[in-house]
Amino acid sequence: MSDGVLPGAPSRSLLQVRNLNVDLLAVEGAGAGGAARPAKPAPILSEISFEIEPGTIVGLFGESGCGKTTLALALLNLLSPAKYRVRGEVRMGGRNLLGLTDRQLEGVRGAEICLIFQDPLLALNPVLRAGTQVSEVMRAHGCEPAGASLESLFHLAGLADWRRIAAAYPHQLSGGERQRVVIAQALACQPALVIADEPFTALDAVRVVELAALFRNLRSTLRTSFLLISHSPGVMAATADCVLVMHGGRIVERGAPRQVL
Amino acid sequence: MPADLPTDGPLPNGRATSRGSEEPLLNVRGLTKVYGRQVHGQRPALDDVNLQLGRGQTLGLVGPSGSGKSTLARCLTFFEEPTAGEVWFESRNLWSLDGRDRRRMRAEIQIIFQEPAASLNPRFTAAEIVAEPLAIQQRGDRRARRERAVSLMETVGLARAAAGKRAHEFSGGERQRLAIARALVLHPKLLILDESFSGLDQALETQICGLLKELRQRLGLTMILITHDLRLAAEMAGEIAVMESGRIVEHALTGELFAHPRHASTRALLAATLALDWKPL
Repeated sequence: MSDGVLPGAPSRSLLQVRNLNVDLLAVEGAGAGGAARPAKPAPILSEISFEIEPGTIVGLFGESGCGKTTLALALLNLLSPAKYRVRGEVRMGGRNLLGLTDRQLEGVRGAEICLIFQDPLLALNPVLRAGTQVSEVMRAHGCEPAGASLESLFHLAGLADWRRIAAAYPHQLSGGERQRVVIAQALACQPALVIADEPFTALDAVRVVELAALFRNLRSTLRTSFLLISHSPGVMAATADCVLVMHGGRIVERGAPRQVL
Repeated sequence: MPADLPTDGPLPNGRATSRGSEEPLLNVRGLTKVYGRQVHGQRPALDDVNLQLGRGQTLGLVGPSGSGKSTLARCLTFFEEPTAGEVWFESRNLWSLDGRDRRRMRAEIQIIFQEPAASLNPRFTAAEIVAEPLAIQQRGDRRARRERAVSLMETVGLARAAAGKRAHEFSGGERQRLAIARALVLHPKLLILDESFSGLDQALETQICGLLKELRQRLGLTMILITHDLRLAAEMAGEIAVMESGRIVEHALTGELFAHPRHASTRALLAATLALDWKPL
């Protein structure tokens, strides 16, 4: 990760975020009757700039409500234009993701950038077996011919007992196993960047340490980059190479975890 | 390490203490819960759980997800009927109560869940949310219920002026305070916190911990704190029970558990907690 951004300068970065601003748009008549939308546009993210280099784990740390999840959604252009105004640039592979059409973004989401959420039970389909759900991702993005078999994916995600896991429904798996199935889904197309939004919150410390080691291993072996969102300093110290600290919608500090936290 | 280790009250394994003659508030005997038809080889969700908790004590219930912590809480609060075993609360067997007695008992044991937003009615104002248990228990008139609700909101650090706001207008920490106010409105004797801190950042966690400690002292509450975070249990609880696969595999005073963990599961949890750069809250 680099601190500054030189306009026009060649960059080895995987992802470059430049002056990203997100405002929650006003809605007519808001403010009365307990509406959640403001009476005038309210800034949610202000002047966010950072870069992620290949094979690094960048931590995004901050208190609840500081804008971490909004930033993750903005990077994938997932914020509704009816509700949010997004300005700035999110560059990856020479393209500004904020300027792509939904059709063009289909090739980026899931294939080049994956998103892992906090609660795997909500992310997984309760009536489909784990193996089917991972295969579904591979099929949807045409990743099958690339050679990533279900077995190798499950092994990558640290699921040694892959036959049992593949045949199980989400409710038959433990919390740690479910999160690993979601990770296997995320790795199905060997994305360059995985955005993990509080992936460890529902897990006990033993599972957190195991998954932190898995992230670091994937970063070293596959050169996969991670943007790891967490409000836990312990998770940051155990996992991230560098940390961005957010407060009030801005990045207020950045550096090595031990130095910053 | 917490400084408030209990010096009296019943020890986890039921040994006599300095107040050995005093009956525990909660006495769980052989509690077992099997969901659906038990398949051969499948372990029950709760497997012969035995537990005693003295008045004014706080028990930390820790263990990995799926170990049975929440099932135990649900069996103590009438959400799940146990397959076998007994739950004694102040000399009354919970699951032998019916009708009015059971409704009265519900007021004595309150639970706060993990996600406050999901457990608060979005159509109600804050005062209505806090007053609802009083209405269900048919206590006082509308005005008295509202006054009691607003007074409790102030007790947990919410402004009187916020009584007319709805849940989504509060921050995450404020919503958790609202949930605490609602749980306390019926003067419960036992408060169960089921992963109530999971979604909070460290600053909010510290705030809510401080509030609960203060309320515990002021109201003489007995608490069960369910968490997968050993650090949090150490901060809040005088004794800790570790669950695994539906069983309590170790139960000791907090200091003892940290100094001499006996079960492999406890040792693994402790090692992982320390590896995550553990610092006291």
